[in-house]
Order: sequence, then structure tokens, then C-alpha cells
Amino acid sequence: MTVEIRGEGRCCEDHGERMPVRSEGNRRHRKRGHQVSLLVVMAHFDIHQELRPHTLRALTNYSAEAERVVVVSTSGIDSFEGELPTNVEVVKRNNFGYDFYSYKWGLDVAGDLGQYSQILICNDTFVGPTVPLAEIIDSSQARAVDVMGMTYSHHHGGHVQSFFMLVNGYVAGSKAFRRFWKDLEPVSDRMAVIQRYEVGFSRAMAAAGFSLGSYFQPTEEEEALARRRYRWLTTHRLDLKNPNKVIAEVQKFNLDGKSWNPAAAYADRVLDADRLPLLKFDTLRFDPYALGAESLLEACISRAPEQFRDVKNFLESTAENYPVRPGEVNIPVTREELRKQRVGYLMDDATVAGSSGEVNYA
Amino acid sequence: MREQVVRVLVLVGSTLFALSVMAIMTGAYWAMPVLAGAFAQMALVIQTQFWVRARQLLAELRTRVRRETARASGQKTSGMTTPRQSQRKAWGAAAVGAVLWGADVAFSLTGWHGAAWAGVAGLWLLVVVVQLRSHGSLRRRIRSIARPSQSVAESRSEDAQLAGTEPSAIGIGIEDSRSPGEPDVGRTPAAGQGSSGNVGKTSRLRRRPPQRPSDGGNLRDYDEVVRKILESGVFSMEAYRSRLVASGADSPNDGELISHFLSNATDDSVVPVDYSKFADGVTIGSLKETVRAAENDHAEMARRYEPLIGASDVPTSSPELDNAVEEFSRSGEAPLVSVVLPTWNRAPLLPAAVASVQRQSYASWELLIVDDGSLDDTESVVTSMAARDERIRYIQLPHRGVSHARNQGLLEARGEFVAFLDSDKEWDPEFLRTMVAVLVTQGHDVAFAACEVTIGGETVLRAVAPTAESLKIGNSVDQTAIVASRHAITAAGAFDESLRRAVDYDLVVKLSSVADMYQVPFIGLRYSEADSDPNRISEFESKAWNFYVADRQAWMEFESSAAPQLGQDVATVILDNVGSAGQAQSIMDGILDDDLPFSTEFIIIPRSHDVVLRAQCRALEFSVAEVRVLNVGYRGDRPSYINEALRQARGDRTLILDVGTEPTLHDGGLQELNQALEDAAVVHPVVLGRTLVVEDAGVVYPRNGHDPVSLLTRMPADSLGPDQTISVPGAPFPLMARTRDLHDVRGLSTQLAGLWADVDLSQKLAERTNKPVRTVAALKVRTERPGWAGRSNRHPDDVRTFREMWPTPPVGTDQALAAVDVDAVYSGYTAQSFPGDPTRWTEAHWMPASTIVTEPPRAMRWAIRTGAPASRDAANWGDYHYANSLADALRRAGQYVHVDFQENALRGTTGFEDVVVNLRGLRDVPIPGDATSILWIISHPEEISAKELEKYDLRYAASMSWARTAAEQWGLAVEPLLQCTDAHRFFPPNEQIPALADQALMVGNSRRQYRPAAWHAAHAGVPLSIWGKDWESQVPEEVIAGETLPNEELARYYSSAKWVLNDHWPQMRDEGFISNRIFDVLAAGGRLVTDDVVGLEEVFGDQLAVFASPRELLQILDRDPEEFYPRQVREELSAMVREQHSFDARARRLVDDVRRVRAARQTEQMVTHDD
Repeated sequence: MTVEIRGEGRCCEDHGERMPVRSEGNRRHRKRGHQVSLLVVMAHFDIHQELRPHTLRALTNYSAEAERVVVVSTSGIDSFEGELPTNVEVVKRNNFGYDFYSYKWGLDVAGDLGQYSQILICNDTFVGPTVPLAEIIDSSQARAVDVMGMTYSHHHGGHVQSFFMLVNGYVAGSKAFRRFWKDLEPVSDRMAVIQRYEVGFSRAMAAAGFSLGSYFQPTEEEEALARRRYRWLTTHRLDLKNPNKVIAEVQKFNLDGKSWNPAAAYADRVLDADRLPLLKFDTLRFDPYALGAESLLEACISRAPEQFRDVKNFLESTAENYPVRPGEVNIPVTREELRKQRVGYLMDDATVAGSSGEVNYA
Repeated sequence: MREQVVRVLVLVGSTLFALSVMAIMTGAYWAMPVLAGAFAQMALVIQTQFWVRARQLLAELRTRVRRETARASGQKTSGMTTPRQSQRKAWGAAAVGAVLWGADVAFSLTGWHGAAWAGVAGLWLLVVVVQLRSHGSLRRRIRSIARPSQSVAESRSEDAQLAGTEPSAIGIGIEDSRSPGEPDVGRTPAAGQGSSGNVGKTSRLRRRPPQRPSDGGNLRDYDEVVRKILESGVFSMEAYRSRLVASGADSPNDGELISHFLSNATDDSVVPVDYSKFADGVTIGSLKETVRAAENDHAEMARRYEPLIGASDVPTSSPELDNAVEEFSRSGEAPLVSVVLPTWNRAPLLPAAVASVQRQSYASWELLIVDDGSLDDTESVVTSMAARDERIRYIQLPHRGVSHARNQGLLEARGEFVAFLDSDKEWDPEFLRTMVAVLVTQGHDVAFAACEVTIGGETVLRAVAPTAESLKIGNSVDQTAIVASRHAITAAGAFDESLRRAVDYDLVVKLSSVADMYQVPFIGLRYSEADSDPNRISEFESKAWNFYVADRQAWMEFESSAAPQLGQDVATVILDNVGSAGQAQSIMDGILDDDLPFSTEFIIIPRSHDVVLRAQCRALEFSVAEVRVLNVGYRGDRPSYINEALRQARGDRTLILDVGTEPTLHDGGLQELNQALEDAAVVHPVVLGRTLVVEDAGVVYPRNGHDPVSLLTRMPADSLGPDQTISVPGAPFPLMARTRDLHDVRGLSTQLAGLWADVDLSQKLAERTNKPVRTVAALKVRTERPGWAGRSNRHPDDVRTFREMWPTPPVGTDQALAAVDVDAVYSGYTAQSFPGDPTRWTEAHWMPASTIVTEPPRAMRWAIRTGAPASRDAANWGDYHYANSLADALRRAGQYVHVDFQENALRGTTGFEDVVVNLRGLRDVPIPGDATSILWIISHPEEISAKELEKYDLRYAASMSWARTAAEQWGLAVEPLLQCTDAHRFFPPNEQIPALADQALMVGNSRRQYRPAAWHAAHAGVPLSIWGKDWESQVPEEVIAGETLPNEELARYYSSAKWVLNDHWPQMRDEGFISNRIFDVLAAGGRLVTDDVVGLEEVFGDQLAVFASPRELLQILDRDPEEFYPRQVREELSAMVREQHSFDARARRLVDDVRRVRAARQTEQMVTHDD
């Protein structure tokens, strides 16, 4: 019923027995005087059941550091563009419960979570990480907290964003972590998943006493920019019920807080020395903040072709499967407007100064 | 703004003046009334503005005064006391003036000059009236501020009243709402002493901020107090009449005699007294001296309490402190401070507490987090912190209580200084630097900072240094605000692990005995007391432990000094709870009138700290008898007062009387009481009620219960022979005992705030001396009302404490009943079932002896309580079917059994049963007063508290792991008794249902909730039949076979299905509550697939198909069931379950255990004192 596809293209029926997994790559088994072992659980879904290059790059990156990589696919992967590393195993399951249920499924496959000193839980909704995984999991940010997201959203009371979450061994071995995943129910509503599980995970870990944080640490200037970008969104996002109005005209937004989505608001930091070393496809596909995502992609392809060269094809080939979601339609903006307001991607002082100017993506 | 107004007024005034001059000069007399009216109107406006402002200022002043006073007396006030209505009234006069002036103008313009001048006169009259009224109003307001407000005065008298009966929060200082030094680390069932009892929440007291005892010690009118003293019995009408007759003066009416005497009295006037009772030469002056002495007593008590009240002023840093910090910083010294932080199941709070240590500007510290056996993620959280900060150390212990945890922390401490922190508190970042600077530079051993506590929205500052006297009453120092040298801590000794509460108080007392407690003028921590965790010590343990710490210290001091000389021919009579001196005098007269062969000293304990009452009582010191008056405090902890009196007693025997009951000694008998003491531990008269029927003749205990029940209540007064003396298990006040014995048992147990403190005392004395408690019928005492130690709802915590102190009631009930030739039939419920409702507690009805059989011959009567309603819905309650199966099994075991619906838990006939079984699902039930009680927790363990467990004689849980955990965490014996199956219904059937051979089967209701076994099987396309309700929203309709399956068919279905699915609610699974379906399916020979409920392996080994995840479930369902359950395995499992896990097996176990418990009580009852 459940099929596992392991590295080197081996497939097998899964009857519960676990095949020995031994890393032969550049995995670290001993560091800083204690056992270090990383488990990566990745949720995968590809509408065309393909293993995309960016996914393969990510898996290769993960496998270099991980003891074990479990990919839980709700679509299956019928074609291989490259060979999976030996410590990567692919488990297929029926498509329900979004990526969180894939996370659960993968953690169930992994078994005793307490044996790992770190667990990375992620999905395939982004390009990256654009840096070696070791830089992230060994970072001072990772050491400073128990649960580290790539980004930390202050929305809904604060939570680590669930597309990339790293927990340390103390969390991995905790009752709260085990209980959270054990009792996860398959939920079919996207917003319910966000509320109950994305936000709920952070809440559950914080309630257990663990500390939360993020790899990407925005500066004050970046937060100010994000605030401007969020304000920009509210004045350019059309209201679902009153399409002739923008949402700022219909409802009141707290512009003093930090309600923005950091994955979108800081998306261009991927080009700021990889400080935010990934870029969400949602950002590229929908440009949710109307900040010039197309230009950002061009700049990314220009500056980091090895990471981004296939992305355009991927977006185009799957575009019809990802229509703009109701309520997420923005007023078209021109680059001049963005430049005038200095809110567009790669238009602030830091990225302009850090880049070779707008010429790269103009 | 104010200057502008003045400028405008000056301008307007000048203009008016100029216009008036012009009008005079130009002869425009028509304008004169207009201008004169304008002047008046202007005066009116100025005047109104002035008075309104003055009223506002006075109102603010009054509000502040009221707030301060109310805060001191524990009341809440809010808002200003300036009514807007009052302002509107004030401006109303100006408005009237404006109207008058308008009319004035109109009259002038229309030539009605007479009317215009009349209007002017009216205006000026208005000005005068407003002036007079405002002046009077302001004077009244000023006076009302100067004198205590009515509400406070009322509260004062209420306090005085309460003080007689209730330990109020007054003067408990820091223990007012919780023990500040006692962290969240929970109770200390440590010593394994089962903690218990439902503590009725004294929320009214708990949420009150520290209270300042009401002022009232300063009496302005001595003459009035002297009059009250005279009225209380000192004044003898006969003596005064004689005096008047002798002097030839007319004698007024009785009611006017005292006034007559006082009208001509001077300080030297000798008060006419009954010279058989009072000493000669009592003068008005001497009585005034008495009043003055009472005032001084009051002032002294206020002084002692002062540190416990708290402070309102924020301590300001002193140059001395600044210099100390600066000097210390310059010196570069950095002695290590060990911070001991005990914790128990509070991982979520730890990060903030730890962060407050990490934020300290002083970095030389080590933080020892002592885990008192937490079950949550404390270990993971703390070890993670420790990995990031090497100054943090994690010490893991089995659960033994906060004091043990602190002691272990101290053993591990390496610092030169020690500080204590709780997981729900945070320090100021400068706390450690400031404290260490003071300790190092000024050479102190112990220092403490102030702390700011928010209680019920109000902030209380605890910033007053304790005194030697205040420490004898309560604690004013927050333990977490203390930093002390390690050698001072060591010298003070370890934390007392026997204390359930007030450990911080005990520490402060000990520290103060080895070093000066230096107060640093600095707020070191701030916290809120909003936490209502039921496991917090302050929520769980009685506040009376504070009284105990104070009293224990007093006894230790008493015992460390030379033993007092006790006069062999002297009896001490303690008159406690004296509400009026006349009452005390009347009792004294009654006792003195009895021709006793010994002399008597009286120690009077006034009901309250009321200064007039005290003055009246002190006037009794002029009595011919030896009288002393105890200076009582503010909080009404009567057991402590009596113990103080006991320490002062100088007679070799002591009689303790609760004067609050208004006792009247009947027919002498004191001599007989005294004689009966010769071969008794303590003696007690027969107490009669107002209608002269027996109130009590001692107490007895139900054969299987725990609550003391007054013997012979409501029986005729002659139920005991006139000279009969009987032995009883215990007795309430009045009690007479040898003073030395009373000292040996350290008097009343102050862990009890009131309830049954007297009964406990008598039982302690009997236990200590191995002599009986005796009731002496020769002395009868009539009372008007119950005493403070009797049944009431004032001290619900005491119910539990008393049960803990006397887990097995003392023997002697059968002998007592036999002696008075009655049998008892008990009704009502245990006090622990309703701690706050004494009307429901165990009562007895008396029957002539031998009319009832004391113990049923064999079969016992059982009542099984269920949560099922008395309706058709009961059929939907699993517990109800479970109860009926158990009832059937018990009947097969020869017992009489009844299953009660939820509504019948309080049926009046409940005393009929010998055994009550609470099949605990969602509801607790009360326990009859004379039944053996059983709690069997079969579900919803999260609803269970230690207090509930403590109420039962036998406790079972349908989980091995939960039973173990409860025993470890709460120190209470809980036996595992798993759910089971009805072996008469579930056994391998002869016939199978072929249609199910390739299907998985799920039987149970969904309750519209996600149930993983069925959900995943259904959505993965596994052939499946589901029987049960509310599955429509969860699984495809085609797998739902029906709503109900006949019970008699279940076994066949279970046996026939390819797989039988089962899962548990997550909490039940994690807590190890194995569902009865597992037993049913296996007994029926079914092929079970179940989730990984904790403890399954302990029961079944690895024989079952168990899934830990949906993935594993699907993998199992994909396999051949015979791999798990070949026929032989199924047969063995079925036989084992039917043998070991049937209702019959459980019934046998219950009957055996109940018989054992009842037999043990019987054996205890048969042990008698050697009379």
C-alpha cells in the first residue's frame, strides 16, 4: 500500500522494517565533541510527478549533512533527472492533509526522533537553500534557539514559518514534539492547516518552554522597509468582495506591528549575500506584495544561475495548475511607481548598494 | 490657564466698573441695575468656580485618604468620590443667576426699573446663599475626611467580629495570598504523607491585598469607655444604693444609677463594686489607667504587625547604596552567587525566569534548576538552556517536594552567596549586583530587597524589614528577594521538609536567628499573583501552616527556657473568645462559686483586638480572682492564642472554655470534672444546647467513616446518668487536662485554623498519655451557639488537614456507645465530599442498643455511582453498561448491588449502603459518612486531583502507568485495576459471519471527531464496516454499516471480522487507560488492531497487532491476520482475558479489598483503652 523509493532508484514495499541507512557522503557524525545527527523530513508534491532540479539540488544539499532524509511525496515521483543520494528515501502517501501531514508521515517513518540531534522539517515550495545546509544548521542562530524557522512571522501571535523549520535534539526528544505530531489530524482546509498546525506548532513548542527564532535576522532598516512594503500591499491588494476597492479602504490594518509575511516582504534578501537563502515559489509566481517579483527572478537568474536557471521553466510549466487565489489579486504596478516609492524588490539602499544597481534586473 | 482666567475676570470687572462710572456720569440710570446685576453675576461665577475647585481638591484628598485606609483594611475602592452631579448643582446656581440677570437686562431695557432692581437684589441674595451653603458643605467635607469614614468604621467592627472566629488575612503579611517564597513546585507529599482534601477556596481572603489593621487604638473619650467598663459588671448597683442610702441621697432608677454615679465622679472616686468579686479601692482613675493600658496594648500589637502590612512608598535608593554598588563595581570582585530554582511541571514558565537571571548585570552566578520530578518537558527545556549557557545546571530528582528540592540545590551550590528564585518570578536586572554589592561592601550576611506584587489588579509593595516581634506573627520577607552568604544559610539549617506550606517563613525565622536581615532599599523583583494553578502550594495547602510555623517557634522558645512552676493546687481556666467582660465575669463567678479545693487563675482571651473590649477585660484584673488578659492579634487564629495562654498557665491543670458559645455551668460539677481527670488524659462535660438537650457528650466516629460526630446530639440531657463518666474517642471544648500534658503535645494543632482543633487536642492528649478522653455527666454546660472549633464552613481547608492528621480515627466508639446503651445510624456525607457545607456532613441518629445489627452478616450493600442520567440516554453511556456488568459480577459474588444514576448521587437513602463505588468518568460524587468508599478511575484521568483521591478508602485506576504516576506525584496509593470484559458475553462463538471474513470492523461512535484507525482505513480503501453514530462527516458513507449493533451479536462480529479496529482518545492512550473494547475483542477471539496505548505490553506482551502511526496501521491491515493471530494465539488470549480480566475477576478483587479494609477498621475498634 505504501511504497518507498529509496536512493539509487530502489523501490520496495514498506512493511515496517527499516532498511539500514548509512551515509557515505560528507555527513558529520561527530562534531563539537558530541554525536550530531540530522534528520531531514521533506514534504514533496509535484503536479507532474517530476523530481524538479531545484528539488534535487535541495535534497543533495540536505543529504550532504543529514544522517537520513525522508521525502514524503503526495504526488509520487515518476521521473528522475538525477540520482538521489543514498541516504534519501522517498515515501509515497495519499494526498490529504497538506504538507503538515507529510511532515507527520515522514517523522513517523523516522521512528525514534529522540536519537537525532537536529531535525529539519521542510517542503519543496522554495528555491534553495542557496547556501550549504551546514551554514544554516551550525549557525549561531540555530544554536541560540530550540526551534528555528528560516523566517519568523509575527502574524497570528508569532510563529516560525513552516516551509523550513529546524528543531534541536532537545525538542526532538520532547513529549510536546512527539505529542504534537502523533495527534496531528488530516485537515483539508488550507487556512485551518495554517492556524492549527503552522501557528499551532510554534505555540505548542513555546508552551512547552522551548525558544523560537529564525535564521534570517532582519535589521531595523529592513523591518522599516518591510513595513512600507506591507503598507504598499494594503493599498494594492483588491478586496475580494469589493473588487473596485483595495483592502486598505475596506478594513483597518495594524501598520505599527509586524504583520507582514517575511517570506514575501524580505524575499529579495536572497540576493543580499544569501542572508535569506531561499526564495518561495509563491513569491515568484504571484508576487503577493506587488513588489516586482518578475524582476527579482531575473536578478536571481542573473546573479545565481546555478540555483535559479530552471525556475522559470518550472513556473511556466505549472502555471496553469496554480491560478491566482481568490482574494490575492493586486493592482498592476509599474516599475516607476515602485522606484518612486522605493518599496520594490532590490530597490532599497542595502540591496541597491549590495548589487550592481537596477541594471541587473531592469 | 488659570492666569488667563484671572486676567479675563480682571478685564471684565474693570470694564463693568468703567461702565458703571460712565453710567453714573452720563445719568444712564437705566443701566445701573444691569451693571449691578452683572457684578453680582460675575461674583457668582467666580464664587462657583472657587467652590467647585475646592470641592474637587477635597474630593481628591478624601479619595486618597479612603484608598489608603481601605487598602490598610483590605478593602477595594475605585474611582473618585467627586460626584459630577455635585458640580452640576454648583453651576446650576450660576445658571439661575444668568437667567436673573437676563431678566434684569430685559426689565431695564423695557423701563421696569423696580423689577430690574428687585432682580439685582435677588442676584446678590443668590450670591450670599451660595456662599453660605458652599461654606457649610466644605466644612462637612473637611470633617468627613478628618474622621474615619463610615465604611471603614464598619469594616473595623466587622474585623473585630471576624477576629473571633476567622483567621483573616490581616497580619499574615507576605503569606496573605500565597507563600511568596514558595514556588510553584507544588505540594510536598514528600514525606509520602498523603495530601488531601478538598480545600474550599478562601478566595475572598486570598485575593485581598495585605491589610492594615484598622486604627482605633486611640480613644478620645475615656469617660465613655469607663462607662462601658462599669456597665460590663464592675459597677454594683447594690453597693451604690447602699452608698446613697448611707449619705441620705435619693436613689434614681436602676438604669440611671451609673450616670448618677458618674455625674459627680472624679478620678479619685471609688467605684461601688461587689466586694465579694472585686478588690477594694477601684477608682475612676484606676479604670482610666486600665483604658490607657488597653490602648498601649493595642498600640504595641499594631507595632508588631506593622512590618507585615507592606508599604506604599517605593524605596528610594540611598547614597549609601549607590556608593556600595559603585565601590563594589570598582573593586572588580565577583564572588559567585548560586541561584537555586526549584521547579515542578512548569516548563513553560522557566524561560522567563531563567532569562531574568541571564539578564542580570552581574554575571558571576550559577543557576541550579532543581527539577522536582517533573512530568512535562522540564528536562528537555532546561538541558537545552544549560547547553547554551554553562552557568546553568540541571539537577533532576524524584518528586519529593519543594523543600527537598531546595535542600538538594543547596548541597550542589558552589557560590559564596545563595539566592532563591521561583519559576514564576523574574528579578530586576540589577538585583544580584545590588545585593552582592551591599553584602560585600557592608559586610552583611543576609540582605533582602523589596518586591512589588500585583494582586487582583492592585499593587502591593513588600518593603518593610521584619522585627523580632513581627516574625513571631508572620513573614514579611519574600524569599526570592533574599541573597545570603552560604555560611548563613548553612547555619540556619536546611529547609524543613515536613512543612507543607510557609517554608519561606520558616527560612526567614531561621535566618534571622543567625544573622541580621538587612533591608536594601531597592525593588528586586516584581510579580503577579494571577496564577491559579491548582497544584500551587498556595492553592493546595492550608494557610494555617503559617500559624503553625509561628506557633512552633513559640513552643520551641518556651521549651528552651526553664519549665514553668505549675501550682499543684492551682487550676488555670482559659476563657477564650470573650466577647464581653460581663460574660467572662459571669463564668468566673460560676466557677468561683463552686466550692473548689484549689485556687483558680483565669486567662482571658478577648474575641478581638477591639480596644474597648480589651479595656473591659482588663478591668477584670481588679477582680479578687487572679486574672490576666492576653493581648490578641488581628487575625483571629484562636488556636495560637490558646497556645499562648497555655504557655502562660501556672496551674497544674487547665480548663479551656470557648466563651463564644455563651456557656453556663450547671449544677456545679467542676469538682467531679477535676476528679475524673485523675485517670484520664482529658475530661469534658456534657454540653447542652439552648433547649437543654444534649449538644455533645464527646465525639464518636462512624465504623467506616472519618468524621467526628457529636455523641448523643439531640438526646435528652439525662441520657447519661447523673454521675456517669464515659470514655469517648475525642471531645470538643470545654476540655480540662493536665497543663504539663498540654505542654507536651504543644497545645492545639495550629495547622488547623479552627475546625475540630479541640477534638484533635483531646485525641492528641489521649494518644500521648495513653489514657482515655472522658465525658463527665456530673458537669453540664449549657451553650447558646456552636463554638469556633465546631462544624462550620469557615475553615474548609481544615477538613483535609484533620483527615491527614487522623487517617485512622481513634478507637473507643463502640465502647462509648455501649456505655450509653445506644447504637448509631449514620447519614450524610464525609466532610471531604463537601468541605464548605457542614450541613451535609456525617450525622448520627441514636437508637436503643441492640436494635440494629452493627455489621451486615455477609453480603454487603454496594452502590455503584455512574454519570449516566436517569433517562433513556443512559443506554448511550458506556459507563452505565460497565456499571451494570460490574453489578452483575458483584451479585454473582454474593453482594447486594444497586447502580445509581447521576441524579441519585445525593439520594437521601445513601447511608443505606456499606460500600460506594464511584466509577469515575466525568464526575465526582460525594461519599456517605459511614461507607467504605471506592474510586475506580476508568476514564478522564485529567479530571482527577489529589484532593479527590484523598477522600477515598480504596483507589483504583484502569491504567498501570497512571496509578504509578499518581502515587509518585501525589504520594497516594493508587492501585491499578484495568477495565475488563464480561466473560459471559464475550467468548469465542461457535458461528461466524462469513461476510466479515475479508472486512475490517470498527464498532464505536465517532462523536464527529477524528478517530485514526477508522479514518485511515476508510480513506485508504481498506474493506471496512463501521457500526456506530456520527461517522458521516468522517468517512465515506459506503463503509458505514449501521448505528447500533446488538450487544449479544458483538462477540460474533468481533470474532468474524478480518480485523477489529480500535483506538483511544489521545489522553487515554498516553495515560495508559486501556479500553474495555480490547478485552472484549480478545475475549471473543477477535483479531485486534489497536493503537499503542501505554502499558499494553505489560498486559499482553508483544502478542497484539499495534500501530503507532497511520502508516503502521495501513501496513498491518495490508498483511495476513494469521501472521499475528493464529488460532492458538487467539484461543490463549481469549482464555487469559476471560480468566484474568473479567468483571468477575474485578468483583472478587473489590470484595476482597473492601473486606480487608473493613476488617482492619473493625480490629482497630476492638482495641480499647484500659479503663
